[in-house]
Amino acid sequence: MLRIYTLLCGLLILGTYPLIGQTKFEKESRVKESEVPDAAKAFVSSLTEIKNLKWYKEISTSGHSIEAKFKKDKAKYSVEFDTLGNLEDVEKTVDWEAISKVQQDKVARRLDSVFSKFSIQKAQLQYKGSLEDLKNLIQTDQRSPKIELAFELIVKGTKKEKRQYEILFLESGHIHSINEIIFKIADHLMF
Amino acid sequence: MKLYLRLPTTLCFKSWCLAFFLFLFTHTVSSQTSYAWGLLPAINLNKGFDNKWNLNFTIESRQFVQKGIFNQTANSGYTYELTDFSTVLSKKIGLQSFLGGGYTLRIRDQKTQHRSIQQFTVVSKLNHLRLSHRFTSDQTFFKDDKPEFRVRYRIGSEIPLNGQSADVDEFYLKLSNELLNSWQDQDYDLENRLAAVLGYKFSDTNKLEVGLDYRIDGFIDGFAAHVFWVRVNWYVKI
Repeated sequence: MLRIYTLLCGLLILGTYPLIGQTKFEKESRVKESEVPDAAKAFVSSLTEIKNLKWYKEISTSGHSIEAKFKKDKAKYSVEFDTLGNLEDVEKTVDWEAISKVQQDKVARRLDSVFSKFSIQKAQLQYKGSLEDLKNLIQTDQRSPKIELAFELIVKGTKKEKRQYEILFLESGHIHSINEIIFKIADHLMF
Repeated sequence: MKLYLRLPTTLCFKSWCLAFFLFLFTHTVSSQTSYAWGLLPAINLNKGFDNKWNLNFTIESRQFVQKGIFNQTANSGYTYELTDFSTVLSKKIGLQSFLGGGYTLRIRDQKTQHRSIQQFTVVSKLNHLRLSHRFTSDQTFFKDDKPEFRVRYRIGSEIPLNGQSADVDEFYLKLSNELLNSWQDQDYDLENRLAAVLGYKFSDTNKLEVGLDYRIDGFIDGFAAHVFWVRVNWYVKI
């Protein structure tokens, strides 16, 4: 019974990171492995000990892409390919508190200059590099210096009013892009 | 001889829920238990203003196809029950939280009932599903009876059936459960409404849902009434 109460209480108090569609158009749907380009399949099958592999097709204003989502060593990964199966980037979901204090401070200083108040809801490390380097990164969790690192953050921030944003930070702490997150209509959940 | 019942300690949440509702259903079905099933179509129109305000207008009608007592022959065929005309004006007060107030006009047996409504809703995202918590209080006024006061809580979720969110031209599953406490004069009753519907998004502003809504009340005083509704909801944002 304790488990039920814990779960129910957990659901009740969850104000957790909200849902969404961004200001840019984005549609993601599941695809069968047979529809995935061979090069993308070959890359993912070369990885060992991955779990819960799922393939998605994403259509956005920047074009079409194929995404593989899986877990490795309890961490969530998302690997993005173009429609030919060429690797574009690797994203790993992390606990922001686990990031180095120096990096956290760089980002916090920048966010301070943009918002009067903010909180980081979700953090992903975004890696770009060669096929081999990115494969080694996933396998060993060791980053080669040749790999480019960026931070993709979901931030709840207040300017005039509270909004939610997806912000891409470069390793230097500079903002590369900032998009306001537009929530999908939830009339069917309200009425 | 003593009998020992051994329950698996790792019984998952879904199993507990199923067991709870099976218990509720079987425990309350007796020779005194009534049932009914019918149709519950609803048209739901929404109009947004300034990104902050939303006006909702809903027309919902109830039509019984059959009513009866369990273990006895059905004692009625099709009957039209009522129609509700509701309007709720809500304001976005947080990222995804809404505070609203409204009014329902109910027409039943050529008579009218008036209901005032206050509601607070929070919507959030948990991994792939959207979750909503709705807290409502309402007061219904009758011409020839004492007013009825209700306090309700509904938890609902939208589960995409393709991808990580329900997009245009995609199906989703919507599950919800609502508990309704009601007081009228000296009487108290508790009602539970469990619903599962399949939805399809024609566009971001146009959705159609079809599914089942199971309601039970009166089980506190031993005269449970089970109602099974076939729901058809049409949501349009104008």
